[in-house]
Amino acid sequence: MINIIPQNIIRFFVLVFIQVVILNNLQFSGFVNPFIYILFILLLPFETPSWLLLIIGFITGLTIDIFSGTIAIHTIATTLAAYARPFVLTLFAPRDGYESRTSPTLKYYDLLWIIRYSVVIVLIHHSCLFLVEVFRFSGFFYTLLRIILSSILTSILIIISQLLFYKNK
Amino acid sequence: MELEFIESEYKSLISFDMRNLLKFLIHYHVAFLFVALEVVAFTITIQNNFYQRASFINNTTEISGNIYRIYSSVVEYFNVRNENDKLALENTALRKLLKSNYIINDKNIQQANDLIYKQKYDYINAKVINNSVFRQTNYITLNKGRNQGIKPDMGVINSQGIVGIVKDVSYNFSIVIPTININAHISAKIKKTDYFGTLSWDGKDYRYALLNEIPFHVKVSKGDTVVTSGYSSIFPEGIITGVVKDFNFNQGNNFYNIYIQLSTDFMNLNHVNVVSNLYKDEQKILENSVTHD
Repeated sequence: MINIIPQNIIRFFVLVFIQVVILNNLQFSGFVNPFIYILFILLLPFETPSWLLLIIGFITGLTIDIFSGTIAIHTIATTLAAYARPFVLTLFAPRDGYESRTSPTLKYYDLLWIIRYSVVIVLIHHSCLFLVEVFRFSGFFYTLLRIILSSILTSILIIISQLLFYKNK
Repeated sequence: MELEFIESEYKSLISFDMRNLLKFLIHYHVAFLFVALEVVAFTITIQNNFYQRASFINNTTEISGNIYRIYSSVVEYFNVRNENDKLALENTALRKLLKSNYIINDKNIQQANDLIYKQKYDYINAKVINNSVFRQTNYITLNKGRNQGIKPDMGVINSQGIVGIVKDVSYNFSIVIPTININAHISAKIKKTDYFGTLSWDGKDYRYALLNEIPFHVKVSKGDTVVTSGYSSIFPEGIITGVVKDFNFNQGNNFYNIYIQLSTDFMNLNHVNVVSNLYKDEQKILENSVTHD
């Protein structure tokens, strides 16, 4: 319980590093970008209060923005994702609620639940991000295609990371 | 007596309202915080799009710039070979311009030239330390800034053609909006006919851009060279931008849609030159004094 805070801080730095140094420079086939840093918001413990979640989302987005030179679009998207997280969690809650001291990982929940939970948050985040980035509705279907393809890629990366790190059930 | 009663009732009403308001605020504190944070983020975005960036962003550029400098000093080694080829080509082109290659045919003309020609543009060499091509709003970071004489609104070119316009500078770094940013608009003309339009980007492929506002009656053909117009006081006239790849026109529209194949390879940028127009302030002041009338 005590080492949850350092664990999350380390995870924050690792994910920001991966995003900024590797993924921002490795785009697949032109317009698809994965944004794996959203995994940090996904993996925060269930007990995180909503207001703290919002502030963490804001800071995470701002950090990515500063390093990508895209001031505030990641902040807008990540704050929205952080706001949406408690609602998504209620939507997918198991019959007897979430057990305390567990986190939304493959260690405690099955693969199907993880996929549903991740995909919804990733879709919310990416839709907001790409729409705010373009800031207009011309070429809407082009943006839509970018949203869908990038969401699929990010979700796959998130599922792979869950399988790698939390498979020991 | 009656007045007193009304007053006390009024007071209790107020306290009741205050309590309700407080309850309301506490109940929806998360939603309020969310709205507040989003408003802050949107404000930064809009200011960043339309005005100069706040000074705190400049300071953060200084921090992230240093990290990118270390990163690019590692990545640089992988591009050394390509970059050497490009520099060698440029060297040859420059050597052709050396004074020793020319004969002085008339002493009088040579002296007159010194009086007629004054230097208008100066160039500052800089290195690209961060670059993106796949976003809608791409940016480039350079390793030089205010301390090295770079100012906002200076043009940036390399040996292949135009690169973009400086948007912001910190003490040792600067951020460039390249041609391939959906917010970039650069004045350009077709070299053959001298008709000018605006070069912009549609956000799709980093190798192509659009030239708008060329009227319908102008003759355009595939392969025409597009160069900078020199009207904006940012770029000198005649810097190559690209060639016409394709063009068409919509019925009812007086302008062509012209697709330009950009001459600059944005995927592979390293050394660039920042253009400083020595007469820019004079031109700006004169132009502003006319528009303010």
